[in-house]
Amino acid sequence: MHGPVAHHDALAALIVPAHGPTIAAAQKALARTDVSTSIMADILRRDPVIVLEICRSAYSTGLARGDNSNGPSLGEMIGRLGLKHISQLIADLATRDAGLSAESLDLLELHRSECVHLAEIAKKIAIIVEPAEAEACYTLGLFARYGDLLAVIHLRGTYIELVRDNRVRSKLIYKLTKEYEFDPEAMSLRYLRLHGMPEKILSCLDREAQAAGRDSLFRKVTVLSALELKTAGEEEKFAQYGPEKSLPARSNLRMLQISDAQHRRIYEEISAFLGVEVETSSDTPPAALPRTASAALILPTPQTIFIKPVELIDGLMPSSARIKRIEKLRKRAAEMAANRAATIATETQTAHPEHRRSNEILDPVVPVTPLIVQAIRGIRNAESVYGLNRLEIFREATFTICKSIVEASGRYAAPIFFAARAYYPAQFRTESQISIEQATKALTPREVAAIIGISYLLHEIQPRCPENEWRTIYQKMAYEMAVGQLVGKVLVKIGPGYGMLLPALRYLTLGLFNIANPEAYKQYRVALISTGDSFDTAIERELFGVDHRIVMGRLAQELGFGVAIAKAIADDNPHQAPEIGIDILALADRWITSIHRLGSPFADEEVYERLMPSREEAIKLRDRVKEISHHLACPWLAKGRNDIKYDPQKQFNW
Amino acid sequence: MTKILVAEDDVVSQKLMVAMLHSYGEVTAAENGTAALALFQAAWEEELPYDLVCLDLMMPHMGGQEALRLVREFETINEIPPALQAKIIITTALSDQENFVTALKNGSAWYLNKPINRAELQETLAELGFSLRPLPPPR
Repeated sequence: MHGPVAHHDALAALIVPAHGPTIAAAQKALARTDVSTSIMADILRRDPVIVLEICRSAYSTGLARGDNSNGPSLGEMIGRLGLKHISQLIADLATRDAGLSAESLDLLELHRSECVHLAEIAKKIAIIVEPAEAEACYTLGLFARYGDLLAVIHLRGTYIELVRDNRVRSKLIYKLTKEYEFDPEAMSLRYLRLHGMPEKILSCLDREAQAAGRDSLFRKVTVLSALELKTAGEEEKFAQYGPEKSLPARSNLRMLQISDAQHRRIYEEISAFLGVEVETSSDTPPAALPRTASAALILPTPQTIFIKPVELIDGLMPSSARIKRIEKLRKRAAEMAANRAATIATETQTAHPEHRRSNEILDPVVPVTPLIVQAIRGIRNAESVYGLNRLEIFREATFTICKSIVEASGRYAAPIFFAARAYYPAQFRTESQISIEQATKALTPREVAAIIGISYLLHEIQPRCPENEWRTIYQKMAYEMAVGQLVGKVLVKIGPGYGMLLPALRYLTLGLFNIANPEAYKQYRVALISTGDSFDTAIERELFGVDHRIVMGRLAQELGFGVAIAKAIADDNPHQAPEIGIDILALADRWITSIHRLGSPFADEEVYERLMPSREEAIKLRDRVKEISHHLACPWLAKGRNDIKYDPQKQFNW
Repeated sequence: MTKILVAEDDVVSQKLMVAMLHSYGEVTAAENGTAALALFQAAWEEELPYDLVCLDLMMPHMGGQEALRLVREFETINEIPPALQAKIIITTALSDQENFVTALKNGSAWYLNKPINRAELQETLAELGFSLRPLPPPR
């Protein structure tokens, strides 16, 4: 195996084993039902070997579709490939064995951690200079020293000898190139090319190649700067890059055209990361770690797994003590979880009967998928941070928060697409094709949150309801949601999103009553026919042990709409949370119901007088309510990806 | 009792946060992400984990984003079930979209803009399931 790698085939045949702990963590994460692509990306990004395999699959499928994008993030690639494919890929990688000695394996792990280390440096630089490029720079940084991994596999024992004799990296590279015709950088590029990495990506790693475009140029310069800083740290020349000094004449950092402030930040952050002693601009002395600082070693972060070659070869890695510690901690966590579950079970048994009943009724939909809660809560959080004063950023943040959900599933993308087209047709008059980004940004953020929440519940509840019962619930729900949307538009504090949400939650809760006790629900429906009401809380309490408003409030809270909204719904108290602008939520809910029942906004005088700014607006609202057709109410409800005629896959932004 | 960890390098903000959170449980303060992370891990080792962690974004040595990521990574590696995972609130003067979205994606429960408004903090804590600790009985 030793000697120059003369043929492509020989290079391509080099098998680099994946990082064992990362594989184990990935397999455990994949075994969970609630694992998200972002969690998977966070786990898998610690190993360049796994990332290369993911890139290889993603680019091959991307190129086959004619995708010429600049390189999606790792999370997007995982999303595109699907967790099933990732699971298969991990299973394949777990079986990889290069037949290395213990020493070679230790060295391989060292180089692997250096790849991650380098990627982190590239990301840190990008965050300071061009944050949008941080993820791409991280991924490229992972591959910048991939050749070192190949050297371990190819030269085996010889490489260990070389590392022992040449502790300065530049000398090691010189020896490798001259005596073994193995230039790690060139070999890395060849290997990546043979493994299907597109030229556009490789141009960012190849010093000789011309970068393909402005983004690629930035990435290239960032990765080369990271390499330069890391090498300087290793060779104890980092002080040359101090902010008070002018950068070396041929430094890649010069090409980044950074300001003095950025230069200072890069210097301080990278020096802290590399553990280099430098003078900082801050007057704050470095914080002393508490007595338990050794606990930091539990984490396999780049900082903690990075050990200099000499120490590594002496056999410090991997630490069995660390593994034992992790095992102990896991055991304790499992014990604590069991104790907490037991406490919750006892509390549930002794809870108020209404609370217990609402738990039973919510059982089919709770706990809500964490991604949904994260998206809805995230939108509300964005509203509190940006509010309506910075609407553009608010809409942009809303899309970024929901991106993973709407791009991954037609269940959420299609309703958003149809809702945008139905409610804001003027925005798309000139567009022949609407991307999901345009659709999401056309809607108000509250509408997006409501649509995501409603679509989730709809898909959970509908299949469990008998068809005939569901049809009635669905018709009423769609009509009342359309009324709610109009009412929300008139009442600025509510907005069309929460206007739709209130009736939707009501009827979906009635759907849950139907699932929990079909017989009682039949009796309830018959009783309602005689009174002509949409609901009756007294009968509900008699038949189901709890009224729908309590369950509805809990449902809103479980979805991530917040305690204040939940209380406003459940308590029917119009002054529940005036500070967040939902003091009129319960009144609006009452108004929507009365408009649905009596067909006029004037019917419930008390509510009308408290809510309506002018009679003209009420008349307009009445006329628009009259225009709502039962068939066409809420045309986006229950839409799926197949309902869209053109193939949005052709547009990357779906 | 609820255990709270506050990571904040600015002494005034740190004291303010401790004062505002004091009525919710036992509060420990750290002056940067590294110290907070070490305290977080040590608390787990002592079987008294933190229930709530408030992280400032811009701190020396290790910022809030990095600390957040490492806390979540620690919980993933050690298979800490979601019910036992700490709720993390990011407190910052920055309101740029990049930091906001990154924090949410990395698993923060809420993002609070400085100066911290007591009512907003209380509302957030209520949403995350924290309640004021009961007052001691009158003498």
